Amino acid sequence: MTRFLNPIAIVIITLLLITTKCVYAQEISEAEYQQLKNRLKTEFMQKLKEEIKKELLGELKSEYTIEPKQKQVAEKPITTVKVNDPKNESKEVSTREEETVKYTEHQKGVEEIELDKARYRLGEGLTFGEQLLTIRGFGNVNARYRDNNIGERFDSGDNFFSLGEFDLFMTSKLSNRISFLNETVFEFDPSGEVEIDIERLLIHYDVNNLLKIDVGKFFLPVGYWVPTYNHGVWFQTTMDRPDIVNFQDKGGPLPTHDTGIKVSGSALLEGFDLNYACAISNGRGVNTTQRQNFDDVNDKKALSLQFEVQPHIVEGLRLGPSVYYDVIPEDETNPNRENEIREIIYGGHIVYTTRNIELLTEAFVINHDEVSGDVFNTFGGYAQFAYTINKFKPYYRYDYIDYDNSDTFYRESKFDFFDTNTHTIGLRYELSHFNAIKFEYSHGVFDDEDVNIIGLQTAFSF
Amino acid sequence: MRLISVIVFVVTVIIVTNAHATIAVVVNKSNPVTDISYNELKQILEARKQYWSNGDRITLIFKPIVSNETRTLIDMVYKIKYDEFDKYWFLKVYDNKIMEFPKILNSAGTINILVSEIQGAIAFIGVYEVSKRGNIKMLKINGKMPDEDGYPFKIKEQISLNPSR
Repeated sequence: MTRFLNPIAIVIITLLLITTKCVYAQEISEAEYQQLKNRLKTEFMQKLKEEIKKELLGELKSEYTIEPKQKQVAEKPITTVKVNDPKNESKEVSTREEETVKYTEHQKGVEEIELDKARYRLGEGLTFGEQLLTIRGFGNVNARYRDNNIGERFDSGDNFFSLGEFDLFMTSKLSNRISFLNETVFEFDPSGEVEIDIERLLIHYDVNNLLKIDVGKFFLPVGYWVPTYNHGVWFQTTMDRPDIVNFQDKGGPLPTHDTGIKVSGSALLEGFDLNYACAISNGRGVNTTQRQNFDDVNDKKALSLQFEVQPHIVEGLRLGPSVYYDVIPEDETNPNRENEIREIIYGGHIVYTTRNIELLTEAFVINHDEVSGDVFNTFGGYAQFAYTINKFKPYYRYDYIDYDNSDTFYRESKFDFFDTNTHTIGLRYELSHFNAIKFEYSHGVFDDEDVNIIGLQTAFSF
Repeated sequence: MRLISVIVFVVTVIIVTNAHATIAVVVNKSNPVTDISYNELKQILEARKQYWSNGDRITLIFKPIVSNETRTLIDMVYKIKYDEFDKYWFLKVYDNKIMEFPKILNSAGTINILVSEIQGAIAFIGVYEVSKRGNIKMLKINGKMPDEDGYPFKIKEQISLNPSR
């Protein structure tokens, strides 16, 4: 059987071939055949061209992501591709040259847009040529009700809306290691006037991890709250600052800003980071509110020194002491302040912050030693605890200050310095990335007078 | 036949997903560092260490917060909520601890270019996004390359559209 299979197969195949040829011969004439041949050739060339184009673009794209545009164009040899065309047998097409120019121009635009977007997203803000000026800021609006009105700090009605601070924060990089920083605050005082305060104005020299130098007006390295949150109400969990670190011009007992030079840095040691900051500045004026931005009344400079340890074993823990030394000048216009006062402030903080937990504690001893021999000590501090649950952050804070009532420096100030014993509970809600609503209640005893305050604040950053 | 196509598709997706599942740490080629410890990298990411040993200032470059790479870093290193990432850096700039915000760029291509051009730059992108050409190199972490076991920056989860996590 198999012997006959081969001849049969040959016959069948031959018949099939003949049939096919006949069919073709019947269906396509010579002219049509030529036409079909040309068409197929054209289609094939078209496809080939497209393939080459695609390949070149792909290649250029991958190279372009690494090399600068000009360099890339200069370095690429312009090659020609020889293509067979049915109409024109050998046509040289400088595809790469055209595509390189087109792609470079296109990519140039794309990259510029990309970088501009990137700058915008970085919060780099307004761009003036190569020097970038970043402007961000803070603001807050409050509503309060209180059941008791004591002292000059509370010289308004019992319930009111109030504009908080409008804070403009600007930075600009002057070189890779030099930057400028300014914080200007517009404050609304009870008289209805707007006070403009330059809270910080400094030039920053970044030498290395161990040495950074600030020259100008800066936050003093005293405790944790003062150099960390300061005017950024949106940053802080609570509506108000703790009483002990309240601003000097709002009746706070500590110096918070000063003009001079500050050096700081971090040593990354085995087991812990050691941060330090040391400032030499003009120091306090004759009273708690006098600013010495332009000169120093008594030529004696203030010195502040702070150390902080961040142990690696407990992530989020920071603790350390700080000390501030100054000689407060005598006030020639006030007979009760005819002596200089040597001021030493000892402070310490323990802070623990994690994803959910915020625990802040600070304590200060303010020692005033008059030349006459009288020594006064004020003790104060606070402890704050907050726990984040999604967008909510309930918090509690205890404030305490015990003034020495015979301390002439505080007694002769335009503010009332009350002994303070306050409990505050509140809830912060993150309405958006840059806006928080805070609702709180506080019960305070100020020199034996009870005060209950309910407050609502919207604090934002822009 | 359809079943085979589906299986091939699924396998391809898994392969592609895994191809991007590791974060590469890339620096400029001029940087003398080739191997970095996880602790040192953490110090850099937290801006506690701001200078390389050769004195170059470190420039941090991230992909956007919605990217798997940056979210993995936030989970592993910063341990904060994703939407607090901006606040974290803003507070550092406000406290004058750092001179500028880290750079956040959308495209891996642009990141490759920037790392090529900025000597002290360090960026965190997908392993297969690292350009093989240009003036950049990938760092080992604790002596491990991204394809080796024990490499710390492995992406655990896919992109979540909920930024408040």
